[in-house]
Amino acid sequence: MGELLYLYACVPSKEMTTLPDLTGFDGEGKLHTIQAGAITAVICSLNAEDYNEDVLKDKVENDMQWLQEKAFHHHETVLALSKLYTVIPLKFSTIYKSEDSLKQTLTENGSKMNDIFDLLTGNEEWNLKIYCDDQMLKEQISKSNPVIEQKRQEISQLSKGKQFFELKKLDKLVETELEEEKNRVSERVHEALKKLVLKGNVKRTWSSEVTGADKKMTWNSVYLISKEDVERFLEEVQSYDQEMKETGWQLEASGPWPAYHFSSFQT
Amino acid sequence: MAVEHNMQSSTIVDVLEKVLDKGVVIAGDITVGIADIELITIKIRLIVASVDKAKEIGLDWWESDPYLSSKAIDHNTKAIEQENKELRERLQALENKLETK
Repeated sequence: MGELLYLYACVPSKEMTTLPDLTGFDGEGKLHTIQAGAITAVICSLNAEDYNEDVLKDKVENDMQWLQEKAFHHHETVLALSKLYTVIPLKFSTIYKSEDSLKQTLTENGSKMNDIFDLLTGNEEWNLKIYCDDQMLKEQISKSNPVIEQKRQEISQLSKGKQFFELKKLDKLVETELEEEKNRVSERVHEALKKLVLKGNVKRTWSSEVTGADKKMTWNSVYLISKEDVERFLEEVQSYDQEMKETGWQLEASGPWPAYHFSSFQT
Repeated sequence: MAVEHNMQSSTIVDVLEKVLDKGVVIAGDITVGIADIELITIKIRLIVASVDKAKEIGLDWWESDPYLSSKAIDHNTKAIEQENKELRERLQALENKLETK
């Protein structure tokens, strides 16, 4: 059948040096490059029989062990490249049937990719997650919030039966206040950090089902930061973390990541 | 703590989300779409978590089963060699005792 080309990332041709020795998607072949003008594609060859569309679809849907392994392979490869070059990371499993077809796609998207390279050069992607101890914050809110305090006073005057239902209602109010407070605090941190960065995007938070962590994620955001400002950014995150620790908050920065969140463009 | 980059569960999810969901989409001749990233992530996280958990409680027998792991063969051979050596030493000691009687 022949060969397929698995595309990991695009790199500006002017930055290209000899590619380090990296193993391909099948665990055997080596990575190599194909140049189309100003854009160089970092790829590996795959046997078309073992990696055709049906096989891949089946693996992705049914073999989680495989998917995890390969997703990490993709990520680690792109990460290694991003330490050396300005990199546009491709989505998992972008595959071409021939060199011509890959080159054509690169040429078609060339000017957009060059714009992205300009945006990314000299900058890093960092991720911020904010967690919060709901129980601790809830206690603070029910203590310090005058509305809730007054409600509680009123309820204590009621009959036992009425108290039960009114307390339920009060719980709901505390929950709502809690969510609002969490957003307010996180947003304040985010806005302050945005002053140090080039771009900042808010992402969806993950449920604890996804993270498997006990603590609740209240904020998840990504930043594109100029390399010389990264240290200041991290210091800032750390000082927020220290400052807010006692009230049940936790801030976690991770990176630098390949610029997965700042490379997208419309095709 | 801030500034960490290790293999915590959040990092696993980070990688999956970025690789499977983000990253530039340009038309490939083959692109494998993944419908529900959240579901996939939960499934994979469960595998990862169960491997870690199993190790924690000592249920990592597959690592020492030669049919399942090449690493295990090495490990087993060493254990048998060690046992052989110990048995030889005990035999020697017993023979010495008999001789002196």
